[in-house]
Amino acid sequence: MTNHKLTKKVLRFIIDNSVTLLFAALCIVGIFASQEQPYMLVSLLLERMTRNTFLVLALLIPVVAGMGLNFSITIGAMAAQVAIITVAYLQIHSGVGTIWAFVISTPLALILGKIIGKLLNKTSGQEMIASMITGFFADGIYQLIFLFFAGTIIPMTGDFVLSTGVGLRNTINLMKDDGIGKAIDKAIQVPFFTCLIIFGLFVVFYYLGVMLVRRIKLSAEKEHLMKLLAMIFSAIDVILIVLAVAIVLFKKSIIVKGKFDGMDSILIGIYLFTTLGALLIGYLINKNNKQSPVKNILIIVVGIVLVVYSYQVMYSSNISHDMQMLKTVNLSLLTAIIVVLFAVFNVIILKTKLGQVFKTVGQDKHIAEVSGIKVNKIRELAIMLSTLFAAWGQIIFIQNLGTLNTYGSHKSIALYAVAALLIGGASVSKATIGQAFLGVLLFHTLFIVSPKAGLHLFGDAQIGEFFRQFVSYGVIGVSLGLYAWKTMIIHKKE
Amino acid sequence: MNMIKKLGLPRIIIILFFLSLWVTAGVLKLYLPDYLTDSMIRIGMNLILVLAMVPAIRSGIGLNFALPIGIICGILGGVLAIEFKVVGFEGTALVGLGGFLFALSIAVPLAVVFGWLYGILLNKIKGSEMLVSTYVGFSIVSLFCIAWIILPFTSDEMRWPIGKGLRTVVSLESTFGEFLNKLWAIDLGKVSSSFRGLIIPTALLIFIAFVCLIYLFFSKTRIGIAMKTVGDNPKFATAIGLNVNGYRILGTILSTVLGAVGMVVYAQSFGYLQLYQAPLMMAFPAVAAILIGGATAKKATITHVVIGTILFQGLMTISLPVASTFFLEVAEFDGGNMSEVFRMIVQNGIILYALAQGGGSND
Amino acid sequence: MQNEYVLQMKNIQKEYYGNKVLKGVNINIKPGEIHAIVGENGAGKSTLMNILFGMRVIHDTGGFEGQVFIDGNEVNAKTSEEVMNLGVGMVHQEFMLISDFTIAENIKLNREITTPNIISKTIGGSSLEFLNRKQMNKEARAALDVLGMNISEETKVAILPIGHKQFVEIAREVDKLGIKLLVFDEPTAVLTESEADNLLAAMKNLAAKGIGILFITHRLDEVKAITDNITVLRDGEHIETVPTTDVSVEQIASLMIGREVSISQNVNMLSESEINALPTILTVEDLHVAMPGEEVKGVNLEVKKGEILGLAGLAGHGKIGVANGLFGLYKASGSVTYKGEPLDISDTKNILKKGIAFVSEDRKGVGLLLDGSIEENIMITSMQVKKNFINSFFLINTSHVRKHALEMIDLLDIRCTGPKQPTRRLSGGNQQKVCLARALTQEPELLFVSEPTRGIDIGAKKLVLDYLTKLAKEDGVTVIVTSSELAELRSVCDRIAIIAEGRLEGVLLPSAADVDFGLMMSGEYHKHKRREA
Repeated sequence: MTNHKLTKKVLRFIIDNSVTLLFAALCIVGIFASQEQPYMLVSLLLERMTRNTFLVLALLIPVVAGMGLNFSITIGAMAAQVAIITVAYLQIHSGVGTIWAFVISTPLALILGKIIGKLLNKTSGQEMIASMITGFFADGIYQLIFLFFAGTIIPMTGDFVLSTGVGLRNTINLMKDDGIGKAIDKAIQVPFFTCLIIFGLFVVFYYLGVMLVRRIKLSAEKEHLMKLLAMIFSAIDVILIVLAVAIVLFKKSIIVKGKFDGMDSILIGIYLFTTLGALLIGYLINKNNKQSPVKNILIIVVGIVLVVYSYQVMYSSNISHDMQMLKTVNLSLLTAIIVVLFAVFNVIILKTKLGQVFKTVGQDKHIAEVSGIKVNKIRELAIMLSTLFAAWGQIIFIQNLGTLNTYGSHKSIALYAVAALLIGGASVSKATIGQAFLGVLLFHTLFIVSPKAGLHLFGDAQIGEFFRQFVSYGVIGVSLGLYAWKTMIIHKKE
Repeated sequence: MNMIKKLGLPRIIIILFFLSLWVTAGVLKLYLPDYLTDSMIRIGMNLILVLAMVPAIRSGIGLNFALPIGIICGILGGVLAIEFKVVGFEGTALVGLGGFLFALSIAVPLAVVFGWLYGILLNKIKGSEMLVSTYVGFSIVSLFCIAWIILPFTSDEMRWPIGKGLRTVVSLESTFGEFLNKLWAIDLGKVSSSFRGLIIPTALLIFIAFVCLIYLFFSKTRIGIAMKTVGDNPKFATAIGLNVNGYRILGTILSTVLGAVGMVVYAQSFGYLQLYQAPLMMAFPAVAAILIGGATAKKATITHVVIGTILFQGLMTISLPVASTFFLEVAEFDGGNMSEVFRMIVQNGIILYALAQGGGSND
Repeated sequence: MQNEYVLQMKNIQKEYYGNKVLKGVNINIKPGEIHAIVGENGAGKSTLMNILFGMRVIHDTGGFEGQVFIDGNEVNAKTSEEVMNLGVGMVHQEFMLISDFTIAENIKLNREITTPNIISKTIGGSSLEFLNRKQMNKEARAALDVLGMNISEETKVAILPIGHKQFVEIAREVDKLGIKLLVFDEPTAVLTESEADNLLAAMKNLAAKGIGILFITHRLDEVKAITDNITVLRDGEHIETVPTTDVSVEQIASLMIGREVSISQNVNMLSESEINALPTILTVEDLHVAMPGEEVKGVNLEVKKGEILGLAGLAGHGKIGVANGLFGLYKASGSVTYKGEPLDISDTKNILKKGIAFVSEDRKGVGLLLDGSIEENIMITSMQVKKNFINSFFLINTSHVRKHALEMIDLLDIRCTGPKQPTRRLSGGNQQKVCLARALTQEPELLFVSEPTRGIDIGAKKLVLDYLTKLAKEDGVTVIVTSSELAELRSVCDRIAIIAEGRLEGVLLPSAADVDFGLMMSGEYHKHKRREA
C-alpha cells in the first residue's frame, strides 16, 4: 500500500517537473559530450549565474500579478543601455559611473514601465504577445534614436559616433579608460569554493538544527539563552567574514607591510561559527514546523557532498590537475550579494500587503476589483517594477560583458530570461525564486556546453548553437502551449 | 471624425505617410518609374504571404504568426528543385516553369500535412493561438536551422564549398529564379521614353490574381461560407451543426498552404532562397500588411490583402530612396538601416494597435 | 437600541426607459429580523437590491424615486462601497472567493491586518507593511465561530465543498466591523439540503445577535421556516407584507402568481382529451444537461404532434437547458425518441437534418451572425444542412437567396433597409424574426423556441406569438416554447410543463389554478400535496 503510494508520488513528481528533469538530463548528456574542462565549465557558469539571474528574477512580479511572462523587459534593458551610453559618453568612471547608470536608468524605466503597463491593460487577455510586440516596437524607436537622431537631433560627437557623424557605433568598449566595465564584478573577488564550503556548512547545520527540533524540547529560559548564543555566534561570524573580505581587498598592502598571513585561522573561525550559528538558527526558526524528515535528510546529504567536494578542491593536493584548477575560480562577491539581496526582496515583497494585493489581482481580477482593489493601477505597478528591475539587471549584465553592443545587447534578453525561468519549472501563472535560480543554472549549462557537444557529437559546433536557440524557443512554445491547454480544459469544465 | 474612428489613427498616419512619401519622391525628382516597377514586384512577391492570413482569420484562429511553418515548406520545395536540378522548358520562354511547379508540388502537400498537425494543436489551445503560434513558428525555424546542416543534400550549388550543410543564401538562378518576374513582362519604356524603366511583371501579377480568384471562389462555396461562420461565431456554428474544430483545421491548412505557395513566389521574385534564420520574422510583415489594409484579428477580406500589401510594400519601396536623398543633405548616411528601422516601427506599431483594439477578449 | 429599523425603504419607484419596474415598494427591517422578499422573475427583486446598493445601472438610467434609510439615516449612495461602509453586507450568489487563498485570507481580502517594518516606516507606505497572519487568522476564527463553522481557518478554499464556501462568504461579511444588515440573494440555490439547513441555522444565529437579514429566495418552505415577515412583489408592485405566521405556503404562492387581469386564452386551445388523442412525436427520458446556470437533472417529457407545449420555470432551474441539451449544444445524456426512432442528441447536424429546428434564447450569442446580413442569416442553416441555395458550380446561388430572404421579410414583417442589412443594426424584435425565419427556412416539423419575446416590443411580441400559433394550428408544426413569461405561455400553449430545480415538476393546462402554478414553480407542489394528503 505505502509502496504504491510512493510510486504514485514519484510519478506525480516526474510529471509535474518534466520540463526541468528533461533539461537536467540534457545538461548531463551535454556536459559529458562536450568534454569541457571543469575549470571552464564552473567559471563560465558562475559568471553567467551572477550576471543573468537578476534579469530572470525581474520576471517574477508580473507573473504573480497574473500578467504572465513579461517579454517587454527588453524595454527595461533599453533604458539601462541609454543610461550606460550616457555615463560612458560623459566619461564618468567605474564605480561612480555604475552608480550613476543605476540612478539614470531608474526614472526612465519607471516612466516606460508605466506606459507599457497602460498599453498592456488595453490588451487584457493577450498581455504576453502584446508585451513581446511592444518590445519589438520599442526596439525600432531605440534604433531610430541612436542610429539617426544621435549626431543630428541629439548633439553627440567623438569616438562613439560613426565616421559619418550620424548614429552611434555598433560596440562601445566599457573597459577602456576606466569605464564601468566589470566595475561591480571586480570590486570583491573571493575564491568560489571557499564560499561553497561556508554555504554548504550553513545548509547542513541549519537542517540539522531543524531536525533537532523533533528530538529536544527546551524550557523557555534555555531557549532564551540559545537565542542569545545564536546572536553572538552570528555576530562573530559576520565580523570574521567582513575581516576576511577586507584582507582579500587590501591583501597587497597587508602583505607588503606586515606579512600578515592569518587567513587560514580566520577561515577556520568562520567555518566554526557558521556551523554553530546555523544549528541554533535552524532550531529556533523552525520550532513549530513539522516537516517530513526525508526532505531534510536529503538536503543534508547534498550539503555534505558539497562541503566535502569543495574541501577537496581547496585543500587536498592528491586530486587531478583539472580539479586543482578549480581552486582559482573566483566569485564576484558584490554582484552575488546584490543578486541574493534582490532574490530575498522578491520573497519579502510577497509577504507584504502589496504582495497580497498582487496575488489577489493575479488570482482573479474581477474579485479583486469587487473587493476594492484598483486592478489596473496594480497591474501597471507590476510592470513598472519589472521594467525597473530589468533595467538594473541589464546594468549588471553589461558591466560583466565589458562591452555594450549598442543595437544588440538587449535583443534576446527577454527570450533567454523567459526560457530560463520556464526551464526552472515555472509556468505562466506561478514562478518562484528557486525556479529562477535552477532555471538559470540549467539553461546556461546547456548554453555553455551545446556548441562543443555539437562539435563532438555531429562534427559541427553550429549545430549546438542552433540547438540552444531551438531549445529557447521550443521550451517557451511548449510551456505556453501546455498552459493554454490546461486553462482551456478548466474553462470547459466550468 | 467618423472616418478617423473607422480607420484608426495609425492607419491614417500610414496612409498619409504613404502619400506624402510618394509626393516627396516626385518633388525631389526621384525617377519614379524605377520605383513603380520595384513596388509592383514587391507587391507580387508578398501578396500571397499576406493572403495566407485570410483563411486563418476567417476560421477564427486569428493572425497566423506561425506562418514560418508554411514558409519552411515552400523553402523545402525550392531546395529540392535545386537538388534535383528541375528547370523545365529550357530554351523556351517558359524556362523555369518546371522548377516552379516542382517546388509547388513538393511544398503544397507538405504544407497540408504540417497545417493539419498544427491545426490539431491550435484546437487544444483556444484563446492563446497568437502567442503560442509565434513560438511554434520560431521553434520550427530554429529546428530547420539544424536540418539545413544535417540533411544530406548533394548539390554543389547549395553546399558550402568546405564544411557541412547548406549555404545561408542559395541562388535560384539555374532553376526558377525570377521566372514569373520576367515571363511576359511588358517594358513600357519601349512604348514611350518617359516610361523608361517601367516594366510590368505580367505573369507575376496574373499569378497572384489567379490565386486570389481561387480563394474568392472557395469563399463563396458552402465549405467556404461554413468556415467563415465558424470564425465569426463558433457558438452559432455549433448550433447549426457545423464541426467547429474541423473547419478551424481547414483554415489552418489553407493558411499554411498559402504560406508555402507565397514563399515559392517570394523566392522566385527575389531570385534567392534564404535559409537558416531568415524566415524567423517573416510572419510579421505579412500580419502588418493585412492589418494596414483594414483587417482585424477577427475580420479579413481579399480587399484588405490587396490594399494592405500595396500600402505597406509601396511605403517600404519609396521610404529608402526618399530618406537617403533627404539625409544626404545632412550627412553621409546609410539609408538601408533607415528603411529597416522604419519597417520595424510601422510593422510592430500596427500589430500593437490591433492588439490594443481587440483587448478585453477574456470575457 | 439605537433605531427601530436597520433598513427602511419608502415608496421606492423606478423606471427603465419608460417602463415602470418598481411601483411603490416599502420595506422595513428591524434589528434581528429575518425578512423575506419573494416574487417571480422580473417582479423587481434585483432592481430593488440594485437601488439599495447604489449600483451604477440605477444612476445611469435616471436614478429612482423614494427614500432609503439605513439605521435611521437617509442614504443616497452612488457606489456600493458607501453602502457597505454603513454596515450593509451582501452575500453573493456567485462566490467572490479566491480558491488558492486560505479561508482567513479570503475573509480578510483587501482588509488585511498588517504590521509596520523598517522599510514601510522609512518609505511611509502602508502597502509595504507585513501581513499579520496571526491576527488575521484569529479574527477569521472568531467570524467562523459566530457561524458555528469548525473547519480550520488556514484551509485553502479550493478544497472546500460549496456549502462551506458560502459560509466563508458570510463570515467575511460578519467580520466587517459594525455589520447591521445582511442581504442573502438566493443563498440556498447551490446547496444540498443539509448544507441549506446549516445555512438557515446560521442565519437564525446571526439574527439572534441583532443583525437584520434580508432573504431573497424562491424556496417557500425556507421562507416559512425561518423568516419573521414576508414581502411579496409582483410585476414591480408591492402586493403585501405579512408576518410569516399569518400565511400558508399556498397563500404565498398564489400571491406571487395571481393576476388581476384575467388571461386572454387561446381560443383554439386543445382540451386534455384532445391532446391525449394526438400521436406522440418526441419522447424524452431522464434528460440530464450540464448547461452552466441552467442545469437539467433528469427530465421526462412526452410531446404530442401538432401541439404547442410550454416550458416554464424560474430562472436558473433548467428550463432553458432542456432545448439546448436536446440540440447537443451542451453535454447531455438521456434517451430521446423522435417519431419512433432513437435520436442521438450529441449530433446537432443530424438533428437538424431530421427536421427539428431551434431558436435560441441567446439571440446575439447563438442565434445570429451579428455581422452577417439578414439574407445570410436566413439561408445559412438550410444551406449547410440541406445543401440548398447552391448552384451547379458549387457556389452560393445569390439570386435564390435574395428571393427567399425577400419572401421571409415580407412574411414576418421584418423592418429593415433591405436583405443586405447586417443583423447587428436591427431592433431586438426584428432580430428575433430573422432567427425565426432561419428556423422556418429549414421547414421544420418540430420547432423549439426559447424566450421568443425576451427584450422585444409589444407589436413584435404579438406577431411572433401569433405566428407560432399559426404554425402549429395551420401547418401542423409541433412547437415547444420555453419562456420566463408564464402569462404568455398560458395564452398560447396547449400544455405547460414546469421545470423546477432541474426536474419536471408537472404538466398543467393553461387554465389550471394560480396556486398550482405558484407551487410548481417553487418546486413545492408535490411536497405540499403530500403534506395535505
